[in-house]
This record gives sequence, structure tokens and C-alpha cells, in this order.
Amino acid sequence: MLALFAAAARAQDLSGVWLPEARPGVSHSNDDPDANCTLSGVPRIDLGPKPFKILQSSDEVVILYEAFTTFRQVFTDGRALPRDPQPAWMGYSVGKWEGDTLVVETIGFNDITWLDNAGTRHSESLHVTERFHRRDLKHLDIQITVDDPKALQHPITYTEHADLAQGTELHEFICLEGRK
Amino acid sequence: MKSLLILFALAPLHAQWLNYPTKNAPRTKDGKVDMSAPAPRGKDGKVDITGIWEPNGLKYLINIAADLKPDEVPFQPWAAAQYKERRANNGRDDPNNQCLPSGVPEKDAVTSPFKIMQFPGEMLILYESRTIYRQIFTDGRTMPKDFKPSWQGFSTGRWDGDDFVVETTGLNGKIWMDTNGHPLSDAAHVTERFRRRDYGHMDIQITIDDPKAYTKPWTVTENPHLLADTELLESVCEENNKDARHIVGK
Repeated sequence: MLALFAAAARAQDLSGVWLPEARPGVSHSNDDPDANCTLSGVPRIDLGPKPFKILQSSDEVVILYEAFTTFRQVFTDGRALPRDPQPAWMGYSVGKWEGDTLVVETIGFNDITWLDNAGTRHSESLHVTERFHRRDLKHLDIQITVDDPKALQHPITYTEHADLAQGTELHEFICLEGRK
Repeated sequence: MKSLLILFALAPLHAQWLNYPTKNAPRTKDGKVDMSAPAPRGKDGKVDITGIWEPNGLKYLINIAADLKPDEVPFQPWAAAQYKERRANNGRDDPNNQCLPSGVPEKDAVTSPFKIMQFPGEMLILYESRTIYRQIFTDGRTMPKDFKPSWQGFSTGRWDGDDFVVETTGLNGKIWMDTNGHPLSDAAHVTERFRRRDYGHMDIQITIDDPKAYTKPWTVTENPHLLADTELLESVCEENNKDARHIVGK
């Protein structure tokens, strides 16, 4: 029991509005599934450029995205990833704390979403690991590992950075209206 | 009418965390959730309204004023005419048909589950329909001066006894409050009183104060029930919207 409390005490407070660091290569392709206003999937949605907000309870971490006004639930209550899940745009996520890093495992994707703005495809076997670490008050690192033995020769790991957007709030963004 | 409601009845994904037991739910001897047990309370003594809720059927989604007599809706003349036209057109122009969001207060009646969560400074509602969220701020903030009118507006919440009272303004004037087409203008001030009667039942008393569309405020009460031992699914309207072209109106 003491160990449990100690582990819980280490959970870092990730809550806040975060703005992903700008990156080149926004897609303007007609083949881009985002053009249909379906959800971007993971990890592409981590790339921004719109802000996201993290809210945290003892049982789950919720990530609200300004893009699509959509959300992800990351269950941290110890439940296992679903077996043979129905493919979804944003998959199914569980998280656990390793020290002060939140490690999120996500599976159960459809094979329509892109991994990045360049159009890298993946299969339904995609397994994404995101390690959320708040480096200091204003900086969040997300180390992303993409594993998909059917589509990739080997796992790919890279790190995204986001800055705390203090004093701001997410706006309602409806994709269908935004593309007019 | 049937075609209109298909959008809300889209079969979402099979439950992936179905039968995952809800923490601390009161149970009867046979292990079922005791829906008539007392409403739980938080450490602060307030009624805990968190959980996954679902409207009881389509009644208020079709007609928010279903419990009122037709002449009890205090339409302004233009709003009465617009409502009549929308009904005559079988709701062809309902924004939902194009996968635009359900606005406040139609969201309370959309027949798919929604999950209320409480965090410091805000109450959060996650909607299975459209996989969209709504933030209700409880930290005392007021609407920013540059707030852009939207489908969900700007909502603040406070406790009044056991009622969680949500006030919403900043709505975009495009909202249909139901599939029948009761209009809501950009001058609307919507008050929702969430009252958890017992473990498994909630009343949402909704007051529409919209002097542009209605001559006086009017009130209805909806009654969602708790969904225990389950979880929200993903539902993406744009994935396979085949309704719009089948809804032709007059």
C-alpha cells in the first residue's frame, strides 16, 4: 500500500493548455484523410498546430484538442488495453506513470489515418507509445514511438515539444466550418 | 422523420470496455447497479453528478417542448413561421444532417451517452455523439470579450444547493433545439439545472431565455439515466454520412 501511495505521489501534474511547436510540412493533399473532417488519429494529432489541453484525475487523463473539438481518454486506473478492438480513428489508450513520465499505449486504429503530414501510412496493427514528460513549468516533451510490423521495417521514435499557453483557452473549432 | 433520426442512431463501434465495472457503484444483492440508491456526494458535500448518462429515448430530441402544449411555446412571430417551415420541410436543413454539431441545449437530448467529469475549475462533458467535448467553467471566469459565438457557447457553472446550475451565452444563432426545428437565436441565454435525483437518475431543467425568438422565458425538464459498467465509444459523423442526400424536404 505504501508503494502505491509513493507511485501515485510521483504522478506529475501535466494539466494546462499546450501549444505544439510549429513544424513545417502541413499537408495540402487532396488525399489527406483530414480533408474529410474525420479525426487525425494518433500520433498525427500530437503535431498540432492547434493547441490541446490536458486534464487529469486519479483514474484517467483527458486530452482535449482544439482541432475537431475532439478528445481522448487515457485510462490510468489499471485496466488493460482491449483485446481485438474495433478499429477507431483515435484508438484506445491506457496510461501508467513511470516516475514522473506518463506512458500512454494506444492500439486499435483504423488504417485510414496518416502518421504525419507527409502521408506515411500504417496498418491496423499500429501500436503507439507516447511518453509525456513535463520538463519544467512551461515545457512538455512527448516522446513518440510508432511500431507497426506490417507497415514499418522497424519502430520509429521521435520527440515533439509543446509550450504552455498560459492565460488562454481552447476555442470551438468545427472542421466542416473551418474548411469553407 | 425517420431519416432525420438515423444520424443519432448510427451504430457506433462495439463496446471495447463494456462490462468494465463502475467504481464505487452501489449494487443490489444480485450484483446489479442499484439505480435508486441515494445520489453520491463528494468530499465537499455536494452531489456528485459525474458519470455516464444517456437520455431516455428520442422524445426531447424530436421535440424539446414535448411536455408542453403547442400554444405554451411563446414564439415570436418570425420564429413561429420558421418552426412551421422547418416542420413542413421534414427538417431538411437541420445542421445535424451535415454533421455540424448539436448545439446547447439540444446536446442534452441527443440519444447517445455523455460523460460528466469534474476537475478543479471546470466540469467537463464528453459526448459520444460526434466525439466532441464541452467545458463548463467553475472558477469564476466570465466570457472573454473576444469570444466568438459558437454551437456550444460559453458556459459557466455554480452550485445552488444540490443543483449544478449552468449558464450559457455566446451561442451562434444557427442552433436547432430539436429535430423539429425549434430555433434559438444568438441572443439566447440558456440555463441548465442538473439535479441528480438518486444514483441512477438525473433531471435537467432547461430554461430558454431568448427574447429575439421567444416572447418570454420557458422551461422544460429532461430526464437522462445513468449508464454504469460501460464506457464511451468513438462516433465520427463525417466517416459515413449518407443521410444528407436522402433528406429532400418538400
